[in-house]
Amino acid sequence: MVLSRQLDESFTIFVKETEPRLRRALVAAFGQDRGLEATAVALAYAFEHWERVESMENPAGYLYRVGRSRVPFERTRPIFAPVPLDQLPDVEPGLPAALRRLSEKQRVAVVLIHAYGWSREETASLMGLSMSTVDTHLQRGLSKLRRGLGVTANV
Amino acid sequence: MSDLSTQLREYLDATASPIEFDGVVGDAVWVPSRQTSPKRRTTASWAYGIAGVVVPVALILGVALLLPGGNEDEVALQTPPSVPASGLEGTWVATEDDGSTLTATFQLSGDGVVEMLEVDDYASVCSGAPSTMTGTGGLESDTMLVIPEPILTCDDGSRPEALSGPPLEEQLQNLTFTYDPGTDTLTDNFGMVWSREGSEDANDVMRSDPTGGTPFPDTDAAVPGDDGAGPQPLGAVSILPDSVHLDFLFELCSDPNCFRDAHFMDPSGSGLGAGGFEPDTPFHVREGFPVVDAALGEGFDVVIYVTPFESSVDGFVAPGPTVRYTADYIVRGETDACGPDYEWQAGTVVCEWFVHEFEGGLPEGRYAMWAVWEAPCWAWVEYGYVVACTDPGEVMSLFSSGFDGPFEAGVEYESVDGEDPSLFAGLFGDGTAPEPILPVADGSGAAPTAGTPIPEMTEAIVGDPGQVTAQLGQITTLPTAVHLDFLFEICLPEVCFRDAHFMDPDGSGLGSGGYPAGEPFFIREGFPLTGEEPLGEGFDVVVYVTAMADPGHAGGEAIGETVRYTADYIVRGDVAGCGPGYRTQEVPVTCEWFVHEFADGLPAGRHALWVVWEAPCEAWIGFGFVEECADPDEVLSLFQSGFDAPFGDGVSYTDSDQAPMRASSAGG
Repeated sequence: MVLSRQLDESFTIFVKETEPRLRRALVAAFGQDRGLEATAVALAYAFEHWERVESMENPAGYLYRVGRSRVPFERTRPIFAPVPLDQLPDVEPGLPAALRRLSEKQRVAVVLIHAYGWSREETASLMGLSMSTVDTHLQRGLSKLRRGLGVTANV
Repeated sequence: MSDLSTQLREYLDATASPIEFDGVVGDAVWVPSRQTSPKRRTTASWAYGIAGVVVPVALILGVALLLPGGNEDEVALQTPPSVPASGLEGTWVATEDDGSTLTATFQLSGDGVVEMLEVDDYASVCSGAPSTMTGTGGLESDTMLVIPEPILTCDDGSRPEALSGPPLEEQLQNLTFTYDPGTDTLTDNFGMVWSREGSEDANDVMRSDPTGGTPFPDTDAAVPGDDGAGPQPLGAVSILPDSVHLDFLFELCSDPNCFRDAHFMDPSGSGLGAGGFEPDTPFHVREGFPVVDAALGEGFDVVIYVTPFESSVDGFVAPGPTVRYTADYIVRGETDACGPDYEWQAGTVVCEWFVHEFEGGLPEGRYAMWAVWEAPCWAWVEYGYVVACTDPGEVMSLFSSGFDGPFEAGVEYESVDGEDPSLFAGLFGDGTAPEPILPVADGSGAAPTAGTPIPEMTEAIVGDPGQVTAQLGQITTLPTAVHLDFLFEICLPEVCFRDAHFMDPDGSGLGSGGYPAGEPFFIREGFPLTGEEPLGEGFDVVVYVTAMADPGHAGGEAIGETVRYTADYIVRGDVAGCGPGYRTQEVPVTCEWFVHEFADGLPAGRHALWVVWEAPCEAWIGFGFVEECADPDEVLSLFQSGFDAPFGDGVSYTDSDQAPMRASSAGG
C-alpha cells in the first residue's frame, strides 16, 4: 500500500496544480459540458498512466490534447451555458453567444490570457502553438468578442 | 458592466466548477484476468460540477488483458497498458499515398494474442489488385503491437512482389503498430497513420452544404497590385461543414469550387477536418476586407506564406523552404459579406479582395498556407485594431490565418452550385492574361567606372517574378563627407551609387545630389552567403518607398502612401565587396544580390527609400544575429537602411575614377 500512498500524494499535488489550467482551457474550447467531461477524462487518463505522465516535460499540454481527442465529435459549435443573471448581474447576457462565435483557438487564447492572466508562453505551451500564433488568435478573438458585445477596445 | 476580462472570469468560474479528486485511491480489488495472474484494479473517484450540479464520475482502471500471463500467486501492482485489448479491437482505416484505402481489423483471441486482418483495395505490390494481409501478434509494450510475420496475398491470385529493396516477406517482418493516446491513432512502422473506422478522422469525404459562399463583388474594378497571372473564372462557392470550426479568413478556389474557411484540412486524424486539393492544378486564394475610407490597396497587402511540411497533431516539420507571395491583384466592389466579420454583416459594404494566383497549382504533398495582413499602422488605427502609432507609416502585420492541407490526387470536396457562375464570369473581362507588370531595366549606357564589382551573373534566381538585366551599369562612391555604411546601391543606367543615404541638397550636411525623375533605376543589396544554402530561400529584401515633404534623415513627414516592393530577382556570384561588411572584407565571398527594378523610375519630388531584410528566424541564427528562436519559421525583419533624396532634373554626382567594374550580362 506504500506505492498507493506515494501515487496518491504526488498525483494529488499534480491535480491541484494542473486541473484549473486544463479545465479552463478545455471549457473555453468546448463549452462547459463537453469541456468538463474532457477535463475529467484527461485527468483520469493521467491517473491511469501517472508514471509516464509524471515524467513528461509538458504534462498539461499533453493532457490538453488527450482531452481534446476524447471529446465526442459534434458538428456544431459548442454550447455555452447561459449567464446566471441572479448571481452575475454585471455580466453581459450576450457573452455566451459571443464566445460561441469565436473559433476554438481564439476562445482558448482569449480566456486563458485575457481572463485568467496566463502568459503567452504558457498558453502557447499548452496549445502547442508558437507565441506569435497565440498572439494572433488573441487579437482576433478579442476583437471579435468586443464587436459581438458592442464594447470598445479599452474594455 | 464589469470589464470584459472580469466578466469572462466570473462567468466561467460560476458555470464550470473545479474537478475534484478526493485524494484517495480506493481499496484494491482483486480481479482475475484472462491471464493466469490476477491484476490489481484500483478506483479513483472524480466529480465535477456544471452550474452547481455535481456529477460523479466513477473511473475504473482498465485491466491488462493483453499482458502475458504471470504467476497466479504473485501480488503485483502493474500499470495497465495504454491500449487495452478492448480498445485496440475493431477496425482501423488509413489512406496510402497512392490513394488506396487500407482497412485493418484487430481481434483478440485467447491468451492475449491479437489476430490482424488488413485489406488494401489497391495494392501496388499486386500490380494494383486488392490484397489481404493476415498475421498473429501481441503487445510488446503498453503502446506497441507487433505482428512478427504477416502474410500478404494478392486477391487476384498473383504473386505479390516488392517494388524495391529486400523481398516483401522480409520487409513485412515485425509489422509494428504504435498507439498514440493523445490522438487515438495508430502509426505503423511504414509511417502510415490509422484512424478508427467510423470516426470523423477516418472520413475522407466531406459533404458541403449546398449554400453559396461569400458572394464575390460584382465589379470590374480590378486593380493590379504585384505582378500576377491572368485572372480566372472564380467558379462556384462552397461552405465547409460546420464541423470545421473556422473563421472566414480566406477562400481557396480551385475551379469550379471555392472553399471558404479552408483551414486545417487534416485527414490524418487531428479531428480538424478532412479533404484535400488536386495537385498541379491552378487555384487561387482570395481574402476580402472591408474598405473604410480610402481604398485598402494603398498600403494593405495580404502576403501568403506557403510551406511544405509533414504534419502531426503537435505541429509540423517543414522539410522545405517557406515561399512568400504578395497579392497578384485586387478586386473591389460591394458585397453583403466581406472579411472576417461576414457572418454578422448587415447590409453591403465596399470590399477589397486580395487575390493570389497559383497558376501551376502546387505539387503533390502537404502544405501550410498562411495569409498575413500587412498595412501601415495608420490604416490599422482606422479599423480600430491599433490605438496609436509611433510611426504611422510603419507596416504592421496583424491577423494571420492559415491552413494545412494535402494536395493529393483526387479532390475530395463536392462541388456545389449555390452561386450562379455567371456572377463571376464577366468579372475579369475575357480572361486574357494582362501584361505582367515587370519593370525591366535596359541597363544600356556608359561603361562602368568603379565601385563594388558586380558578380558575374552565373545564376539568376527569380524571386518575385522579374527579368535579368543585360548590364547593371557602373558604380560610383559618394563623397566621403557622406559618412554612410554600404547597405545598398541605387543604380541609374549610367551610374550606380553606393552608400546612397541621406542625400540632402538643402544643407543638412548629409550629402547632396539627386536623381532624375521618371528615369529607370534599380536598387540592389548584397549579402554574403555563409554556408552552402543560398539566401534566396526564405530571405527577401523589401523596399519601402514613401513620398516625403521635408528633407532630413530617413523619416520626416510623409505626404503620400508607402509602397512596398519585394525583390524582383537575385544575382549570385563571388565578389570582393559584399554586404554591410564590405569595407573590411579581405577575400572574395559568395554574395547574393537582391535587385529591385524601377522601370519607370520615380516621379519628381522627394522620396524615402527603406530597405529591410526579412528572413525566417532560423536563418538569422546561421548568420549569428539571433541566438535562438521561439518559432524558427517566424519571419524577422533585421537590418534596415534607407535614404531620402530628391528626384528631379539631372544627376548631381560626378563619376569617380575607381577601377572599372566587371560588366555583367544575362547568361554570361
